[in-house]
Amino acid sequence: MLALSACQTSSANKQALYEGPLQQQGTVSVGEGSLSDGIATYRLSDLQPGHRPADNTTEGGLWYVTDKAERRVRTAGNRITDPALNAYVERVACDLAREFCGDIRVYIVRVPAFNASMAPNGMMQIWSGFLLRAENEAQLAAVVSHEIGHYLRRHSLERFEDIRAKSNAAAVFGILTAGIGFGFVGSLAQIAIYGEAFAFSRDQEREADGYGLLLMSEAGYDPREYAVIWDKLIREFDATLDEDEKGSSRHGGFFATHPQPEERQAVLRDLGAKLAATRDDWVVGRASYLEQILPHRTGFLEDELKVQHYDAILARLDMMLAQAGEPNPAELHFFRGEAYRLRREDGDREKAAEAYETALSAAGTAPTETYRSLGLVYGALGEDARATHAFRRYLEARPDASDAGLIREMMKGLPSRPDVTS
Amino acid sequence: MRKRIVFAALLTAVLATGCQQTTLVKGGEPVTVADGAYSVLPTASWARTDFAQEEFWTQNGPRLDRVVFYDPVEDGESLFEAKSGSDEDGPEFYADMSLLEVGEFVESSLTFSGLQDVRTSQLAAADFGGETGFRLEIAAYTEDGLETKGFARGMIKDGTLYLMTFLAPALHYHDVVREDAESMADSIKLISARGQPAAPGV
Repeated sequence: MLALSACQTSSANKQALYEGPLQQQGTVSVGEGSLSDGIATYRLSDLQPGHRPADNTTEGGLWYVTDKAERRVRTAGNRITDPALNAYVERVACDLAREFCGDIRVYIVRVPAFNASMAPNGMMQIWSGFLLRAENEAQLAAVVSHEIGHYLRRHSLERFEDIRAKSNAAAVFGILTAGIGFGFVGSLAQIAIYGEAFAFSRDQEREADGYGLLLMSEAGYDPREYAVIWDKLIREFDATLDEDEKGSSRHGGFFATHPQPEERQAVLRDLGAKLAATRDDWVVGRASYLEQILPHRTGFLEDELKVQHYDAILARLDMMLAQAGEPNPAELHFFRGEAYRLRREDGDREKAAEAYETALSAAGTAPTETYRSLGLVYGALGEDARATHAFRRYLEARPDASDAGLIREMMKGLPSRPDVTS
Repeated sequence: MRKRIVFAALLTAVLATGCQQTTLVKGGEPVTVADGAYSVLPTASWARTDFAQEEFWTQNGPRLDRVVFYDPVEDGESLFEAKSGSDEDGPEFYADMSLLEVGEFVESSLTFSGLQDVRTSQLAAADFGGETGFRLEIAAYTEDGLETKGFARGMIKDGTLYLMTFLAPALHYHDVVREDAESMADSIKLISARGQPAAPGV
């Protein structure tokens, strides 16, 4: 799981855990070694491509339940089956996993939260909330590499053995396995339970981060992009805090069980910069990434609104708008308007109207629903003429919309209606 | 020992179901629902189960067809409370919502309940117990990927939302049960008058 780690070990130990995969190939003293053969020297000596544990072993038991969970994920209601997107992410994962490509299966699921996960049997889940937030192929590669790191190091088994040594084995097995495959459920409550029950240890997360850097850089992806993920996630989360909470210890929500991403961000930034200095032809892959994500982005953004994390998505939308090469700012401004309209705090209707107006004049293509939403907020603000105008533009664009009749009825209720016969 | 295990299993089953009771509703007699807000006249037999904030009616089983009568929702309340392990309630209803926003509220509430890829359409004014209410079509997937569809009928009156929904797998059960569900929606008679009907507006 792409959990957020807290600082519990000494700084020296933490650095060693991150650098573990890199030190094995002599690349932390960057510049003196090649990046090749990295994972060959660091992976568990007995983990071979095509590995499948015997059924009568602890690991076999873990695989058994995750195999069952995977059968459900295959037909899950929120699995994204679009062949192009799946082929794209699978290609990236395969390039990163190399000889382990055949052992890892990627499932993209529609869950509006930032995460990805790896089950013991090689079932990797990528959440739409992460795909929405990633900015380029290098960031996708970082997270996929991180999850592959969990698989290569068999962290699930290690975690299970560790907890079992401290408590009741049967109970622990039940807790650990109960959460597997939860992603298709899509319930944030169950996601929280899963996070508690099946999280990897913080040291395992650090080690997986090391693998993230290693595998992505071996594949030629710019390792500096890994820290960017955390930087922006911190900014997004800070937007959900009150002023007096910012910059302090994080508590509540996603960070309650996986606190303090600053440590990871700092270490990844440092190591990423060292690695980046070793060559100058790194791949970022923004255009190729956007080409695959854009057909799905509208739906991903709609999902974010449905979970009502308006402060977070507003912060994220601002970051997306600030990205160079954003292909459709108009759509992002529309969703800013939607977030304000649905948040309903003081002054939000005015902000929503402004965002919709910006969407209609911005580069790209604003959804026709922009006019409908604009009509709603102007109507709520008592600006009936503007509301009528906006609704009319919506009906002109979508005369056969399923809500066209209702819009016409609503227009009749606007005192300043000029004509509502369209 | 065996008896103790059986007892424990029964106790667990009782606890798991809480205080919910399932009763048989025979067609032809009006039945008061939605916390006494209105009555319906079923034309077929249904199994009725009461929960804290709503009641489920089904002919073939709750996963195969389900009419839900929600208790009236006041301003600032949610259709669904927070689930175990979470402190986040479902989306809130606001009395000043337009009907379009009520449609969004239904969609996000059903998403919160666990349905996937919920889509509402054909939102339109419709009769609700003799008052001006609304109707909309629903399409979604269950957690297991089963395509399901149905409708919602409701009304906002005096700042309170009255809502019933029908959902069933698109394969077979939707078409079999829908007519009975529609018939019940058409038969709604309001019991507690809480003010003047809210006309569609912004």
